Amino acid sequence: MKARNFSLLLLILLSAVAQSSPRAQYLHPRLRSREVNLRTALILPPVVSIQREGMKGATSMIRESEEVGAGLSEIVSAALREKQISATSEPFSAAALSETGELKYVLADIQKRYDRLEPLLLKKAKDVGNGRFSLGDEVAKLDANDSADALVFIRASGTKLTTGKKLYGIFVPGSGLWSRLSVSLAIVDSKTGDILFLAKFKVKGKFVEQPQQVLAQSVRKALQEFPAATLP
Amino acid sequence: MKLRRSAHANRARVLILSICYTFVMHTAALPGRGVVNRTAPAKPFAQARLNNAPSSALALVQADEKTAPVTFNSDDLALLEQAALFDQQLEKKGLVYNDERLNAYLEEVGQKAVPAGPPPERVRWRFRVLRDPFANALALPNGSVYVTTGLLALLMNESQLAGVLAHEIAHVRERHIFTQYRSKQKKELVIKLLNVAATWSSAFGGVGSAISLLADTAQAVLVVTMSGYSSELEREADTFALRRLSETNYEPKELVSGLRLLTLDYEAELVPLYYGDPVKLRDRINYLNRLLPAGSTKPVSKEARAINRLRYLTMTEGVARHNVRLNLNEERFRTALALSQKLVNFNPASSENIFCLAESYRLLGPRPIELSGEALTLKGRKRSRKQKQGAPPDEVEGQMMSTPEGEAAWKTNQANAEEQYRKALELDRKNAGAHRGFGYLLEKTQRYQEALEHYREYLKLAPDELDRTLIRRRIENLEKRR
Repeated sequence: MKARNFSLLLLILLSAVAQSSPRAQYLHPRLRSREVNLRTALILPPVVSIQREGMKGATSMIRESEEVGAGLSEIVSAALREKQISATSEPFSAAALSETGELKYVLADIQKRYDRLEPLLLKKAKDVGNGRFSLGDEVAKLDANDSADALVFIRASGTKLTTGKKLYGIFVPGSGLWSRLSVSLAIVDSKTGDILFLAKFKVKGKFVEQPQQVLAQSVRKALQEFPAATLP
Repeated sequence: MKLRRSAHANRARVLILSICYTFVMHTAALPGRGVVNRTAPAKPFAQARLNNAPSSALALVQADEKTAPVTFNSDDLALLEQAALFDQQLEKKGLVYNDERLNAYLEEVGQKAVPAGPPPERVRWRFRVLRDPFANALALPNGSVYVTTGLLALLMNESQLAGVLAHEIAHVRERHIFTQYRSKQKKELVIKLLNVAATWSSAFGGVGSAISLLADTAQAVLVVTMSGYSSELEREADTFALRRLSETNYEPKELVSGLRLLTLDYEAELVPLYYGDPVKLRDRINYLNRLLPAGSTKPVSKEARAINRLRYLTMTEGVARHNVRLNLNEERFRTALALSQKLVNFNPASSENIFCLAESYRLLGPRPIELSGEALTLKGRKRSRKQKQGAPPDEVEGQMMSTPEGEAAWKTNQANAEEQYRKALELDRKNAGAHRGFGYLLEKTQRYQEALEHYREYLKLAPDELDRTLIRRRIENLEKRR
């Protein structure tokens, strides 16, 4: 009994120490063989959904989700710049989208197409390495000026626990003690729609209050195996 | 640590927990209760609802028009704030269909459905269209009422639209959203408290199974009432809608006709339809049929009915075409085909409508035009969903093409598509989309020279379109093949 209690306590302590789970990264054969050399990328508006979970149930944190999304966009852009890849989300800013109504619709439709594929993509992530997944060449509509090599899709979903819920978690093991965020990054060929790269990871902690501090290192590690651009 | 408790203490604990559970579930489960405090007595038609006695819609005309004042607590105000943010998000994410003429029309019909007098507190009526191929409507507590492009494309006349809007207005007016939200919170709190008790009960010995059973029962109750509004609230909204239709120049029976349209199922999907599952929908249709007066109280002439229908279909023709594209994006090819055919039946001289039909046939690919037999059973629907979810769309289509039936269906569909593209271009040689679509078909059927001609014509007619680079690339690839 004493040994069992001690093991349980040790497990809880180890879980508390670990801030995030290991990162998984998958590369398309053309990327792995350096057949494609990505130098420019467009970052699509991230789709982030964070819920506040309390004792009375869950409520959406719409504003906070947007802020974390904006933070993720900047972090990914910075991480790609470290790999000599010029990345921007400017064509999809609110101002740019309000000028061209059609682009807003096309963006929404292609985001939805990705979201429909995403469950299978995450489930069979290893098949990215077989070149199995593609969004089709219609993605080229997002880059009508042919200025980018790749499109970046960012998805994140998580829960932020209230103090009451955390206390509840102490009394009911398995119901969660920490706020968590699951993130996936997909990099897509802007001409063919092929999914060239997929990374997924999880973080715990204050990702709402301090997104830069909590997410920056995880994103950098998630793109570790992504090849840097080479000069033409 | 081993705790010893007496049998009496254990029994007392179970009894106390049971009383707490019963009390909370009683107050949580009743619709219409909760912290939206009403200072006025219940209205006559609400009393009729509680008695569960069907009564003529006309008898409800006497009901008090004014809504009772409400007291908002912090949770309600937070919900209103979320509603406002949700409105902004929908617009920002390109999910709202913006067409000035259509918005003005929707506003006009919506305002007819709103009862006279100032809006309820913290409500500003706004009627908008959501870009979604599934037939649905939703209302936010701040007065934003959304109907989907799928619903607009499906309905047949203005009375049906007015019925839907009146139903949603009722949900806002009667504060159903706050009631249901508060009810949900209480249920979840009960379940959490019971889970705590269940987890720790084993340490005290003997009561674990009883607490676990209560927690399980609460879970089941929560799941049942969480799927949309409760049937009581839906009936209240339907009753209100019938009343409003009879007070305006619309036909109350069209509310029922509109609901019947929602039972149409071209895709054999497992997705629940409007307001939940088909069984609930049929219950609502039966209930509404009992409420309708035996004879028509306000006979509507054939001409008025025709004008009502013509006006509606004219105003929604553009959004219906947009909705065909949305259905094709969602791989709901048969729905797209049916709605395109409806467009062509309404306006056969429109090149754009025929183009929609052509696209639907082309993208239907190796699928049969109609589903039948095993595909329509529950087993068939589950298999279809499993197939769709188990592989990317191009693989699924490839698997279908590898069968003799799939290949035969593909040939028929491409032939139908070609016929419609040619018709569309006969009516209007400057239909850029038809040139592009026909180009795709010709490329797929390896008629590369003809495909090149149509792609080039498309670029001439629409040089600034977003897919210009895509089409140029296709032209380059085809030229390399020659």
